[in-house]
Parts: sequence; C-alpha cells; structure tokens
Amino acid sequence: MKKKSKRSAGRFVRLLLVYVLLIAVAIYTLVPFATILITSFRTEKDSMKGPFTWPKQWNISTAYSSAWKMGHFDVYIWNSAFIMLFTVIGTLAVSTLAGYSFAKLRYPGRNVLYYLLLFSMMIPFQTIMLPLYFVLKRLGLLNTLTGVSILLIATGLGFAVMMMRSFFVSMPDSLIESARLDGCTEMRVLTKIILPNTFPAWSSLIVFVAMGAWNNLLAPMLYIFDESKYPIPYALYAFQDAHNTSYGLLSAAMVISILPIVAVYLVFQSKFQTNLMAGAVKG
Amino acid sequence: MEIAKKRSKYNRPQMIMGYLLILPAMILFAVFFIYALGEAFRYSLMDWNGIGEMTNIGLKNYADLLRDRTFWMSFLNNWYYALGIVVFGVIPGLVLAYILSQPYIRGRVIFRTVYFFPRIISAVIYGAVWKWIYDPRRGLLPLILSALGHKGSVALLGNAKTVMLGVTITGGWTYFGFCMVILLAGFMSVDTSLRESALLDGANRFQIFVSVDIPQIRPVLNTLFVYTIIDSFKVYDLILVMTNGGPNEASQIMTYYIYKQAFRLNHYGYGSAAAILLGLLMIAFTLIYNSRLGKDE
Repeated sequence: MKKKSKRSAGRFVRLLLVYVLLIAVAIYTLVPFATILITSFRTEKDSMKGPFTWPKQWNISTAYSSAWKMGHFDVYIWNSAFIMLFTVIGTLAVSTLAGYSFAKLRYPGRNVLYYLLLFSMMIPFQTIMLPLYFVLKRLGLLNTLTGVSILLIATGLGFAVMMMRSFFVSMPDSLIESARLDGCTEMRVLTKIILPNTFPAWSSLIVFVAMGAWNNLLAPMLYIFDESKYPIPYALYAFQDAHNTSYGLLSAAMVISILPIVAVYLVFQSKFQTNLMAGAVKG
Repeated sequence: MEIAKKRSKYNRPQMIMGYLLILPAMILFAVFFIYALGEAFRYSLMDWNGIGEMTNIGLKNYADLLRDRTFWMSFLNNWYYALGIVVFGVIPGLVLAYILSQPYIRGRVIFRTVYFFPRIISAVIYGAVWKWIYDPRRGLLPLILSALGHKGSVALLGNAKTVMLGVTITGGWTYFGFCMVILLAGFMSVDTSLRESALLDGANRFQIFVSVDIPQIRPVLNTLFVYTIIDSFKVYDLILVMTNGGPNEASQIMTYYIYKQAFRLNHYGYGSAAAILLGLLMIAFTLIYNSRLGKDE
C-alpha cells in the first residue's frame, strides 16, 4: 500500500516536471512575441529606454496610429496584401491546372516535363536572383508589385505543382472515366468534375504560399525601388535601419504585420499541420 | 509497329488539353527559371560590372572563388549554421515530439500550435527582436546572465567568435517547432507493443527511447536531417537582418556573399559563379536526399 502511493507520487512529480518543461519551452517560444506586444502598448518615452525595462506608462493606441500613419504602414499593408493575393490566386490557378494535367491526362513528354519542373525546386532563389533582375527589367515589370508577385508564383511553382499533382493522383480515375463515357468533353470534365472537387487540396497550399509571399524580404529588396511600393517586410527592414531606437513604433508595426498571417495560420492550421505530418510519414 | 502501338495510347483531345493546361506553368518555368539559370551560368563566365562590356574569361571566376578565403568562410559558416540548427532545432524538436506523443499528455494541440508559431513570421521581425534580446546594454540575455551572477558585458553579435552562435540560436528558435510537428507524426505511429515488451524486459525509459523509438522513426529523422542541411544553406534574411555578415565578415554565409558580390559590389560575373556553385551544392544535397528516400521506402 505504502509502496504504491510512493510510486504514484513519483509519477506525479515526473508528470509535473514534464509539464514544467513544456510550459518553459512555450514561454521561450512566446517571449519575442510578448516583447513586441508589450512594447507596442507603452508610451514612446517609456519604451525608448529599451524593450526589456519595466513598463511604467501605458498607451494603447499612440504607437499604432503613428506606425499606421507616420510610418506609412497603411500603404505597406496594402502592398503586401496585393502581393499575397496575387501570388496565392496565381499559384492556385497555375498549379491546379498543371497538377491535374500531370496526374490524369496522358500525352508524350509528360513525365519529362514534370521532373524538369521539380528540378527547379533544387535551385535556390539566390542562384538566379541576378538574371531575374534583367528578366523583369526586359518585361517592364521591374519596380512593380505585379512583377514581384509573378516572380514569386514562378519560383514557388515546383512545390505547388508537386502538391497539386499528388492530390490529383489520389483522386479516383473512375470519376473522370465515367464522365468521359457519358460524352463529356475534356473541358467539361475539368470544369464540372475536377475543379469543384479541388478545394480541400487548396487549404494547406494557401498557407504555404500566403506565408511565403507575406514574409518575403529578398524579392522586394532587389526589385522594388519606390518607397510607396514597399511591402511590409521590406518596409520594416528599411524602418529598422532608419529608426533603430523607436522600439514602440517598430513593435506596433510588427504586430500589425503579424496579425494577418497569424489569422491565415489559425484558420487553416489544423489542416496544414495534418498535411505536414502526413507528408512526413509518407517520406 | 512499336511506334504505332505507342501512339494509339494517346487520345487527341486529352493530349491537347494536357498541353494546354501545363502551358501557363511551362511559360513561367521557361522564362523565370530555365532562361534565368542559363543566364546565371553565362554571367559566371564573364568579367562584367553590369554597365560596361562583358568579357568572356572562361572559368577564371570559379578558379578565383576557390582561392577566395571569404567564400570558404561563408561555406564553413553555412555548415556551422546547419549543425547549430541540429543542436538548437532538431534535437529539441525530437525531445518535444517524444514527450508530446505520450498518451497521457493533455493539451497536445495547444503546445503544437504554440511551438510552430515562430515559423510563420518573417525574419525581419524575429531577427530584430532577437537582436534586442542580445543587445549588450538593453537586452534580455545580459539581464538574465547578470542575474545568474555573470560579470562583464556579453555582446554575442558584436564578437566575431560568438556571432554565429547568436544567429544559430535564433535560427533554432524558429525551427524546433517545425521539427516537432514532423517528428510527432513519426512517434505517434510507433508500434506501442514493442515499447511495452521492452518495459517488461526491464528497460528504462531512456533505453526504450534510444533502442525502440529512435530506430522506428529513423526514416523520418534522416529525411529531416537532409532537409535541415538544405534549408540551412538557403538562409539569408536572418543574416541580413541580424548581422549584415559582420562583424568583419565573421557571419558571412553563401547566399549573403552572392548578394553582396552581385548587388552591392557589382561583381556580376564573380557573384554569378558563386551562385552557380551554391546551385550545384544544393543539387548534390538533393540527390543525396532523394537516394535516402528511395532507400527508406
């Protein structure tokens, strides 16, 4: 009897230690987030002393309104939204069509073209970033948000097509075959049978692409010159260089820029993480 | 005969549709990848500053690169970073995934979601905040160290010896949650009967972890290791935001070196040669990765 209670006490202590560890790691994860959140709510004078001094004065909205108006984040957030939407919609459109074609339609050269496309995933963006400058220049897309978006669509294509193709591969052939036997044209098969059933595959692709486009720093840094066209990451980068002690303003700008992507993540996260995990088990 | 048979495999409307649907992808791919890659290679054979004439100098850029100390240092720094990410990212992720896979753990989804959070934000943000944390005068780290009794100032990023450590810790912070999510799936699918029989044989928890769990998730773990190395050689934003390659080029990495040569110093040819070498390196890593995948399946 005594021995049993001793053992359960040991078990309790061990469980307690495990939770202490898990919570400590959660705190470690969240400290930077908490730092900018708290700093963004301090008065400018108070936060000037540094983000890790004890906060004395609070001001809920000043830093936000000055980041929004003075820091021009009202402009930058729209630039970022434009890039994100353009990239997400463009990627979904292009990769869904190509993924379906590679998975379900038969034509000569199909596999060669698909593996060639996959090859692009191996090459890091930095290898081709200089020639891409001249490509954009020649297309008249340098210093435009459209240019950056098209570039992000193109450089993320290998991954997106791979994801869409593997979705279509797992779709049963019988559905398509029976539609064909019923006399559907290939176009009708696509619009009536395939596209309406594609939505489940899109959610995790949306998270990947939206995150990549929203957070991308390098492309705008290389190909955008007008301050009025900066997306958020580049604006934040330029802003840090110019005002490295305006902790309050910077923090507010960071919080503003995190919120949309956190929203996307939380909406799609369970599906997204499940897919990540499924992918991991597969290989 | 053989050819005629093969041709009959294809049905015309399907073929047309097939090509039509990959057309947008292929145009983008041709212009923004194939052409660009070819151009990168062409530039790499040139002496060119972007404004003047291009002169073909053959493989001289490559020969110079292989003698360039900064280039080699950036290569080594990438390896340092990759190994550091294993220490501060993969290993913590492994331990956390093991703990979270235990059936008695409550709140698994909450921990999983929180740990993954750093992965979704831009390096501009976490890089800057970690810079604040490391700041020798106002940072959180000096505050904690002095509370623990450490005397003197600590300037992780200001010191050539510790700058990569500082960057790598931050990199690991963004990475362990991702590793945890990947490995959690592996641990969840571990055959529990093996654990129980090992327990009956008198093995302790650590022994079970090493000899039962790890071998079973080995395929996932191997994949993750190679992925980590590939990902580590692509790191760029973090260095740009936290150190600019400094102090004194001590935190120079390959991607940043390419950027600096091509876009800051206008050494277009030289930068492109470095870019091509990075590309070749990544192809080599990916081939290793794929051959691993083949083996595990």
